[in-house]
Amino acid sequence: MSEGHLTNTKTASPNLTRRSFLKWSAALGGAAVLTGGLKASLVTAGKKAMSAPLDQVFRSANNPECNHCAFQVHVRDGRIVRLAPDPDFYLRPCLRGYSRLQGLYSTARLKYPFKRVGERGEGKWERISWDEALDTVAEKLAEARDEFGAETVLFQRGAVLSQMPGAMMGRFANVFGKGVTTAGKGGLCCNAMGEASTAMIGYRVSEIENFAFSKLHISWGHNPAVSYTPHWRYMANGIEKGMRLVTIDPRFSETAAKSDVWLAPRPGTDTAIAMGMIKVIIDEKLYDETFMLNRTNMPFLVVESTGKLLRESDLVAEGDPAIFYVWDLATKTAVKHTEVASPALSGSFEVNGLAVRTVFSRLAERAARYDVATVSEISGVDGNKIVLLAREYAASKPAMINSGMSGAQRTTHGEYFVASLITLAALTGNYGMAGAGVNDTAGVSHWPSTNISSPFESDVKGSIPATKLGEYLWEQKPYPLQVVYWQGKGLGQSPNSSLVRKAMIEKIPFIVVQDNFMTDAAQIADIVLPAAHLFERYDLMAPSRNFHFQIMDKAAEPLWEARSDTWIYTELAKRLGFGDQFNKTEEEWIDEMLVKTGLTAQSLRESGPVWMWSDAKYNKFGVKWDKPPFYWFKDTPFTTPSGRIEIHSVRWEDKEEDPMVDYKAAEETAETAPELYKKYPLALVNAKINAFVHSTYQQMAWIREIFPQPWVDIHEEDATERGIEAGDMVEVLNDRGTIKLKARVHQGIRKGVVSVQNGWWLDTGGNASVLSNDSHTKISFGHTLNSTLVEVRKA
Amino acid sequence: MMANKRLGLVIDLDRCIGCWTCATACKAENGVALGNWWNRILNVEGAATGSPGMVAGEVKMTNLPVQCMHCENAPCVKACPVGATYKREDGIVMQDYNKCIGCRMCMAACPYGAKVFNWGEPQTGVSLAGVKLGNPAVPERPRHVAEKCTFCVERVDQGELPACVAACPALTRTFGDLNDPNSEVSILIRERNGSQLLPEFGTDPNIYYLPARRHHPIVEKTPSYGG
Repeated sequence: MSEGHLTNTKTASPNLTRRSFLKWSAALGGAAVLTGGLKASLVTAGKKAMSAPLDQVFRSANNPECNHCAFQVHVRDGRIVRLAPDPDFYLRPCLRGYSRLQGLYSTARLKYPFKRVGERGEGKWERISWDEALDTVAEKLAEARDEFGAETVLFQRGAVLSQMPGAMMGRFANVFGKGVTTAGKGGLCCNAMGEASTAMIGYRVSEIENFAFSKLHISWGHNPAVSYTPHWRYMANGIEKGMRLVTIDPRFSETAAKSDVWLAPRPGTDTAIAMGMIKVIIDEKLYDETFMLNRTNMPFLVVESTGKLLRESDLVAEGDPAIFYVWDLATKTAVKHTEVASPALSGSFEVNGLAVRTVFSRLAERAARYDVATVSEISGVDGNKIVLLAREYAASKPAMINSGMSGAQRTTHGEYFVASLITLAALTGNYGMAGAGVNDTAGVSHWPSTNISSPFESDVKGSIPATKLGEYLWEQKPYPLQVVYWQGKGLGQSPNSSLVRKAMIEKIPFIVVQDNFMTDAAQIADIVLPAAHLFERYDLMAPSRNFHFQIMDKAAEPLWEARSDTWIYTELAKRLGFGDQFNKTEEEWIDEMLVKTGLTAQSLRESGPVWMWSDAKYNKFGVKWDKPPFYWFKDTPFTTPSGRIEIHSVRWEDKEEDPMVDYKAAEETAETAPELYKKYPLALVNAKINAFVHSTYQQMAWIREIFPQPWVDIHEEDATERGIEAGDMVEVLNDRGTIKLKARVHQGIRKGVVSVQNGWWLDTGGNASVLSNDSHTKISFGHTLNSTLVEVRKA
Repeated sequence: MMANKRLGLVIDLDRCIGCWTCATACKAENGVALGNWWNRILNVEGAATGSPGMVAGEVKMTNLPVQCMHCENAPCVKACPVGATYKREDGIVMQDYNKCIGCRMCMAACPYGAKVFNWGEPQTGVSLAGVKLGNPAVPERPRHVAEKCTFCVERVDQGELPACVAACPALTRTFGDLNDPNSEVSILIRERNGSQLLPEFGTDPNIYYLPARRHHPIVEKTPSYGG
């Protein structure tokens, strides 16, 4: 047995060999019979709560960037001893959630405030009192603000998606500088997804509850089996009902393993595949013309000379730039888009002497370049399969493209990848149904929150692109920073992470880190503050990556000297003279954030999780649905300037960006960086595994028994060429750095591509971000880590 | 007279994504020590968790959760020289930790590698002395005893489901009476061609697996492509 099968090899039976499993598995393989309808009773059975009369039970939820499953937290004699699924919630937590129980009492937990006594990163610490820690931090903050300006204090926080830690840090930073701040620009996840969604449909949507309704599910650069583990039950329900599953990913992921079809493109070429599909759908007239004419701007006219939409302001002085024109087939004239009776979908026309053409015709012209041979050549995927996929997609309604915060949009032209997916869904009318559309991961920002983070108006003095943190700190752009206040975030999550670490160590006079564990960021801090665990404080999980309001109750006092983020900021505020801005309890802050919804901490405690669509007060759209599924774009509008899906985006046109989808080669490829490619001929993609959410859970002993160390996946042929065998320690390197890890050699990855898991801390030596491209997408400053070239060699 | 119950578990490999939640929930519920798993997920084709392997030229990664099979014809019960391993009337195979002498004969006898051994004082990875995680009714095990999945007998006796069944996020697991032809488990086994692991050993396990569905590649003749 090899690693990961059985961590206790001493107790593994030699009788159970892989050979016998293979034999057995083959015997099972031929006997597949599907039945439906049995799972409903299972759900009922699962709803039975545990009976443990001695335990007090509290409500909570898991709060990193995951699905936020609700928990019952069982407390016995003042100690948290047990976690169980909340029978009032529709999901069951995954192993990451359960591991919190061990993490709570982990020997690795930060127990006390510490100050650095050795060199930065040397690991020499002295335990100090909270008073000394808070006094020191307050003093350093005040010094920086008074001498250099509040903008020289950089506040950074990780993706904790419950409300309190972020709101409290935000409020503290805002009041501290009276609004003066250094802002972040873009991010390390889904900016391309968010930007293209905003540009084309108005906002971000998630179909995460509706997987089971699709007839076809294309998981594109996405691995829901590990990143939406609790929602897999709906995928499985769909599969039982006959839903077909296609995975497009250079890696044979856990989701690919469940799929009917696995297509493995070259990283960064996904848009070319989508363009090929668009061409097939247009050429073979597989599109939904009624939908396109009525709910998209594909019939809108574009002025040939400028490439811009024809607007009323182009034709009449004082005309409304939000009125667009379409060609009316009845009158053979250009008519306002709001007034047309029989619009033309395609064609070239003349309006007031201007040559114009419909958006659809221009899209068709772009797509025409992506014939089977071209798409095959660009993507490395058999173009005939892409043709078949396009036909199946157009014939299967509802069909969902599940992209999540896809790895395929974490590339140089990520926005256009997402645009290609929305275009596919718009062509086929895959909107307004359950199980259709393009699945993002967002419920965030759709609830009417009350902002408690910025009592002062924001006054941004400079900004730092999220992907460029290392470069900006190293080059002291936009100005030298004096203090970095770093809360609950892995240092190794930033691309080019070695440079981030080096810049922090050498260029930042004072670093304070607040966390549960001695993270790779805490390791280089001057003061480390032990934060309370999520079950040791009050918090609110508001619709973020699911669509529920959930209370996270304080189930026990913080262990050792850990303190809640709210307590820490309140104590610092008192020392800095603005304690009056931190004059509420955690539950009072929660009630204030919720005030527009009519919900309170206490009401959520009594009711359990509340679905955001169950009352018009709970969402910004003011809509109410009696029960799931919620259908996006049935009662909710496309909030684009035209009120339609904008295949030619007004937002992008206004930003002087290419307003419509097209494929462009990514930054680090053989084609675009031939010299670099000679040195580093392998493309690196990051993988998510079910051990982590970003860098969280690294210290959970139970999880590390399953995933003891990082590894690199490499194709057999690439390994053979380099004399690498399975299990060898190898170096993965490029000009940004070198990491050292174990090789897993197989054929479950495209030749020419290697993959390392995201989330390993810098001190494991296997942190993928050391190698990651720190450029960003042009429009939205999203990261491009999957446009990275590397080489692999035997260590 | 009604026949005895035969408590059993059906695991649907079509739904299982190998996430290890069952295994982790088991660890939490039963206070299983670091280094030991009563319940674990094997990867049939690949070399490790999350690694694909090849079968007949095809890339595959099939998850196989394995725990005590609560065999009708349990080799561990026969192998135990002191009667510490025994079978309850409802089919659950149990371990009496007071009787166990740590000889590990049961472990050698089990073809599923389902039993684990406490080589030292069990360490749970919890730094606060006196905090016992999980179900308070589950007895603590000393060093030098063998232990394994009990189908969460303490829960089952209260009419609850085993922790792994209640925890599985993908609803992969169904628990019930195999002797009742109308139980969900019996129906699933019948309708979905459930099978036992390593039947050639003659152990007659009370855990059944439902096969993973066959995949349908993109080919021109697939009717749903409209061609």
